[in-house]
Amino acid sequence: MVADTASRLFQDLFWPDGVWSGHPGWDSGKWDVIESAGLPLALVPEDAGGFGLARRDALDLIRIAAVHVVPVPFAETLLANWMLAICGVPLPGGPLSIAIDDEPLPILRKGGGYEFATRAARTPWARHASRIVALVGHGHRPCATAISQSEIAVEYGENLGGEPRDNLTFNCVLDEKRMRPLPSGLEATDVFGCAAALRVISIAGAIEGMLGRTIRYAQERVQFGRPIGKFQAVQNLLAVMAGHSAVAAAAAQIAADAFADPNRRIAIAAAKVAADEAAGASAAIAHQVHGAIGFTREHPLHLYSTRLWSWREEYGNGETWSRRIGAAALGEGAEGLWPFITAA
Amino acid sequence: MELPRFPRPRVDESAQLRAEVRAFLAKELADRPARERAKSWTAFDPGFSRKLADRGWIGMTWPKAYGGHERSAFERYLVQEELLAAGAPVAAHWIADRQSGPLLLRYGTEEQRKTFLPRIAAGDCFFCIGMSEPDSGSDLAATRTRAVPVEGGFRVNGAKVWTSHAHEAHFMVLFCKTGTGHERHADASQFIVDLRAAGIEIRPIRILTGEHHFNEVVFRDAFLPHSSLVGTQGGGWSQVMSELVFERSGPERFLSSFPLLASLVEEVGPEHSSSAPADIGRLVAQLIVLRQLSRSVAGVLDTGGEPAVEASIVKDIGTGFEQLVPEIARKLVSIDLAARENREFAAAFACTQYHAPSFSLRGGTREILRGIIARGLGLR
Repeated sequence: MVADTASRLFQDLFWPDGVWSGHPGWDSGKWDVIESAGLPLALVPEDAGGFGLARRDALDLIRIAAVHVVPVPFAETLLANWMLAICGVPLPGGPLSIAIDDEPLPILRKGGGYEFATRAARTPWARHASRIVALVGHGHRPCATAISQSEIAVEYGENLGGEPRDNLTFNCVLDEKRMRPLPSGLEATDVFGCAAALRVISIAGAIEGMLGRTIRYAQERVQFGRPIGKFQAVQNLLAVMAGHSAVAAAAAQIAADAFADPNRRIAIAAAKVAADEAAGASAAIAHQVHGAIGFTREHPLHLYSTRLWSWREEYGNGETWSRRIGAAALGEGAEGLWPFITAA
Repeated sequence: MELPRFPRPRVDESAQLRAEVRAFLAKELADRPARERAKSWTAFDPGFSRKLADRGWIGMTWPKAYGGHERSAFERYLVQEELLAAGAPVAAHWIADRQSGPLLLRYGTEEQRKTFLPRIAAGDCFFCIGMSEPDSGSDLAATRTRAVPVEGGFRVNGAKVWTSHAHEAHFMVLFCKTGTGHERHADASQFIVDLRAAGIEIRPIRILTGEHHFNEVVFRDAFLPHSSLVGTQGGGWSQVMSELVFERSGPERFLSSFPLLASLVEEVGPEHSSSAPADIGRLVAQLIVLRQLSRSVAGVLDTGGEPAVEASIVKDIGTGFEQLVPEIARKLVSIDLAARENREFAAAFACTQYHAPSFSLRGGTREILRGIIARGLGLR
């Protein structure tokens, strides 16, 4: 099974001897191992060079990557390859970044092509990417295009989890052949929803990993002569956290099933709202249970919690997405609300 | 350590059945005001239950040989959630359909199945549950009511409390001690009790709304024939535990205050204050996710699993959601103003507010559920 393969591979690469090896920085050798296993093509349709994995199984690899705190743009590369493949752009290989927003990034007609001089803030892993896959547009269908490092200016930044989030300024003229439109029916907002779905699925994985670790800690840490997990107050916290983990897991299922489906925008939105809440609440409980040791860089808890704090913000936070759901729901009236929910 | 698992629910949406149920409810409940809908599954209406039975929506999954309809668990779930979303008065048949019937299917004698299941499915035989006692609430094993073997059956003494609708139901599934020892779990049994039998007194207990739902049911030398024993004598504890899983994960564990949410959406409307969309959107998002979790547990139950921990998680989160709805409602709408203007919304709100404390008590308190979850996580 590809899930087991991926899990073992991530474990071997990033947790040798049970200690996370993501520090101190980028290791292209490890990326090459992931790439030669074919995993970055998991979302690519079979007729475009993929290996015919069901979409939900492909997206589940993102959860597995998050369980193992994989310090590479794994989710981003899956999405970028998928975008390029469905638009008919040849796949460049290597780690990929994505520059997408709720609307196409603006380009301007210039000579025989289009000037692309937009700024794209907090672009994930851009400095390490072989290409940045951007969704651009100018009065026509949004188009996917692959931009190389020589066509951008990069200003380094990172999220709370220490993952690269670089500010880019694109500086190139795209000729029409490099821009391939999204298949009809899909809009930029749907691709933005796909990016939100990646974060939902990653959140589910990180909470799962964090829950297991927090339970083990509560079973091992002894105070007052017994493991702290024997105290009802601590049991209560962990039971609540298991609920948040369940919510995130369900949100991840929903996000995967609604991925790139323009009829299910509300489902994607609901998944991100729920994952946002679960992320913050779980991280708070995990830190409470771990006490002071979890507040240090020496302990691996922060690998999960700081990423959760970051991922809940990216590609629309819960507030942004809940406003969209609410605005639509409030137009439904008392009788329309339930059908609105069952159709989501 | 094994973490709780929520497999993706199998969704075989039956658009036709959903449309059928919606059309039926639109017609039957056309004049039902918001304050009545807000009563959710505590509203008792035998006439309405019989109409559901006529449509084949009680005992849906049971074998035809017992008056059932052999529909799938997902079709049953669909009907349940549609009824709850509409605020339909389902209390009369709810308990029998949800747990007493399935209990008999699993543990009952052939005679019991043939006697009770067709009548339940026809909507003219209602059940209540005799578990809690004055000195035994969450601690079910502390039950004191005892059935002592006598010629031809058992003689029961003791008292049950918080017995919803005992005064309107025909039968009770009684959980009581039958052994002579004092083992906490080993000497309990379950019986079907005809509530009209001699030696049974039913006294009303008013709930916060002032309504008569609860009762105290006192047994004084009440006789139970051998034929009323369900399952094995002494096997009551494990039987009741598997019954509770059915009780804990259904859509009634997150939709009890949905009628108020629907009224709230109507009341706020498309012209809204700035925080309304985010607040409403958050509730809707939680509901969509809860529905996914609840259907996951329903699927596991349907394939013979006993997802006790997962069911407890759904009930814990679901009842929290139910209690959040009135809080958001009072944030977005001035209840005082609505009451001064005598708006229906104020009455619907009052009903849900009155019922809200019970959401995280009935069917296992939040604290009991969290204990079950913690045990599942390997902590106790």
